[in-house]
Amino acid sequence: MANTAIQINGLEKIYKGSGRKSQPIHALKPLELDIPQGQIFGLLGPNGAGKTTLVKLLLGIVFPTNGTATIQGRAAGTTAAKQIIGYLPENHRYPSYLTGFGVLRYFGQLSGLDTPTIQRRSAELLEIVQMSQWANTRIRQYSKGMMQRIGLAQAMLNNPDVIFLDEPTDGVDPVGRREIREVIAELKEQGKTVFLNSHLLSEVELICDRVAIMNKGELVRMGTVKELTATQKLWRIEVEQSHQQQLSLLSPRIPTATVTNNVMLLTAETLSDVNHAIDTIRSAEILVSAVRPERQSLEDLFIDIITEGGAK
Amino acid sequence: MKVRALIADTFREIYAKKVILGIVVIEVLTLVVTGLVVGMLSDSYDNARTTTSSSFITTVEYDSTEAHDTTADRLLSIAEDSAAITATPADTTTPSKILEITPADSVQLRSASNQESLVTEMVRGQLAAYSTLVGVAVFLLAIFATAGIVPSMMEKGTIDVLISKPVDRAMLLFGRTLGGIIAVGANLLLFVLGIFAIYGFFSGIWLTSFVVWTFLISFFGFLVFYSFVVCMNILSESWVLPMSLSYIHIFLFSSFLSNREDTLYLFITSPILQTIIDGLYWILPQPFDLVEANRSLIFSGMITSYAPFIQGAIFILVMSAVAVWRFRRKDF
Repeated sequence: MANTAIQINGLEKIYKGSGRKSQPIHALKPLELDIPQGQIFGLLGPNGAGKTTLVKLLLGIVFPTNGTATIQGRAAGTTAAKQIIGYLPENHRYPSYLTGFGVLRYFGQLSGLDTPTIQRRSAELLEIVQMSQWANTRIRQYSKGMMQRIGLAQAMLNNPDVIFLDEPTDGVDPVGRREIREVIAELKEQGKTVFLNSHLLSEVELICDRVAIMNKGELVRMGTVKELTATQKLWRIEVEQSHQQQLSLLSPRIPTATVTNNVMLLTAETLSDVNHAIDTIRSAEILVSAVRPERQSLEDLFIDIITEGGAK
Repeated sequence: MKVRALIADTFREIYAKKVILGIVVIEVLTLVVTGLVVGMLSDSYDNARTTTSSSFITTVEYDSTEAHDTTADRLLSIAEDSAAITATPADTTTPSKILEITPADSVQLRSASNQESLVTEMVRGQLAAYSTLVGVAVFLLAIFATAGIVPSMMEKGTIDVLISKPVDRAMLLFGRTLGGIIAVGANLLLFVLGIFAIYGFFSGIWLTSFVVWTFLISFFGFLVFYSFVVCMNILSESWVLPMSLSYIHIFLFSSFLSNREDTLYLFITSPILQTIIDGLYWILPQPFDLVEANRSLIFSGMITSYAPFIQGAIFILVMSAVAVWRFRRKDF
């Protein structure tokens, strides 16, 4: 597929148990996934959901038990695929005796870049992540936020087509987070594909085109933020303030309805159930001011899915 | 460029961790102490040179067809320098030449030849002993300095970024270990040259065989053990375990295994156990034998057995192959 950045076919990872009696760990259950080019793809899930395992499989840091994956048509984990990717791991550690520029030079050399390119790109990226003034300071003196910025610059150094960012805003202050979000948005503008692992749901909600939620090694939900947060069953019917008392008297007549002040929340299987409720309200001569499907926040959805009932 | 970057980073790491600095300090102190001791010994070298002898040399027979008869060449040279000595072959029809020396000049010749040889032998003996010290120090310090190079690369957060780069895993391992090997090699060469220079300066005897053999054999011994350390680094993800095992083998097992017939077999008489011990001797590195070979080469320029070298080379190949194979398939 020409416009697919990442294609995953039945990718699976089972870790052997370390002890004699320990059970194998099914870190990633067979996964099928296509991520189009030029999108910001967010991967969510609790700790141990298999997010990092998936990223490591795509980068060749761990080897799959079964299945295959390609990045821009190149087999994942190969040197050819690594030439077009950038990676910012969670809890990354760069040699503490290097300066910020030294880190970029070292990883630029490992990426196969020539010296003039390394110098030009380093200067540009240090400017973008606002680390120019710290370029010649040893990174042992950097704060967590500064390390994240240098890590982000390192991930973008070889001008990759696909960038994997694992918790890129971890330890970064709110202003810095906003700046990093802007950098990610700029990458999208340039046609890059960004694969984002994050626990910050609000951040994912803000910048991701598509989101997947993983739990216990499985992909349990995927779609745009709008698709995921819209609940078709829950409706919100608002009435005029002056009619709120009448509304509360009416609620026993409408099954699955709950009333709080002048708002009725209704769980309806079909649109006709919603219309029936509106008819009932209108028959009591209550003025309806708004009817709209209720949206969950991504956080609500995430917690719903992660709790056992939600996962099912 | 990628391997160069890895080597350069390994250098930076070694120097940043100040391990090599510590070793350099130890080496400099050793050289200073050696300089002081050899400086004091310089009197004994002079005494050996000026000691007169009661024995007289009247003739020296040597083979004129032998191009490298150094003793005869040296005597002939001394004789030619002395106006009183006639260096005329007694018989020109045979390859064997006779150097005739008058009794009056024999004392001079004696002191200039035999006593020079005596000083050489003194220096040779002292440097042979030094070669043992260098060998043991290299095994001890160099392994300590380099045992952490591969594990530090395999730490979480470090290895992830390295593997995400378009560099083959074998090249990553090769670059890192090569950095350590070059650092140790350079350090060893400078130390050996330092000792060589000290002895040369104070004794006037520049024993190049000491530099060549001590450097090559100690370095080879280091490679043997380092291949084991790297392999175990990858298998165990630890630097303490392989370093400890190496030290135990170097300081305990190796000498027992090499001298097993004079030690272990005195109380182990079972042929099966003896076969197992023989097998261990041939499987495990033989640092004791390498050190002995070094001493022998400095003393006599000869070697009694190539076995420790062949075994060591095979050991390096096997350990390197296992290390690369495992590193290329390892999940991080």
